[in-house]
Amino acid sequence: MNQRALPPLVVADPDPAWQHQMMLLLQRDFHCYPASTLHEAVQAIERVHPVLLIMELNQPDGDGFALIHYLQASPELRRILIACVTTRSAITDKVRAIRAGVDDYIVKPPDAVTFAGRMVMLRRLGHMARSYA
Amino acid sequence: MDFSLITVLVVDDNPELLSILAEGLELAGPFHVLTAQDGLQGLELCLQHRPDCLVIDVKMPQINGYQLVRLLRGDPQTAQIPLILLTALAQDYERSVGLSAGTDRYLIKPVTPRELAKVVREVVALSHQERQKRFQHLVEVEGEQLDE
Repeated sequence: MNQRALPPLVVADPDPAWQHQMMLLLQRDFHCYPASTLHEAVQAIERVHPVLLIMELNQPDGDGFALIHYLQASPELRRILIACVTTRSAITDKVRAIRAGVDDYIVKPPDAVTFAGRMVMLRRLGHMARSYA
Repeated sequence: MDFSLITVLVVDDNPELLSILAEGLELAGPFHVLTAQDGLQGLELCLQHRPDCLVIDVKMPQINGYQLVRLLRGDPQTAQIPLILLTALAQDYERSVGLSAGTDRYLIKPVTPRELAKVVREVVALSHQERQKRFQHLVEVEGEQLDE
């Protein structure tokens, strides 16, 4: 399969094991770019203009919500779909994320059988779902 | 399976419709019916009571039905709960958005309590493996069509 034809996606997770596992599940449908910090995520986003950002909220150089707000404040970057894949399972985090503009929220571990398909369908239909908020 | 033991949580921001649905389901099931008036309360009650099935309206403030479905499917604690979206939105792409979020069934209003009770029984009988299989099928078939 031609990697260049696949839509770009950034996986921002500081845990190398999670990063690797998610990229493995997604590599058939996306061209995956890894990031291990918020700083690296911003660099990757500005370089590859991903269709989708997958992000752990707990990052070594800050809270993931800072990146969500940064993306939402930009007319160009707010088009990027955001899926949090995180260890945080509190309702307050989930609701805060949805209100901040996150399109999907998955508590680790993601379902290995449906994860890639879920991200594929999010890319195809995620922008439509935003309008029902 | 003893269907009289099924607990259904209905989430709808319209109090009148919520009441009609809850009473109708209690009679048609019979089910034990809980109600929530918005997505947030739905999320809280779901974690608190672990119902056997949720019936969710799409258009709601704060957290809409699609978002609620994603939040529930995205948490291992609630990922296996049968979910039904109930909506007045009848366009094909709206149905696709609902199914791609992970709902088991997408029903267009109006639906009689008897019809809804039948669908509740159907989705409660689904195994997690069957649910995963259906979703994969959706991705393969419907996803391809959306790309065309």
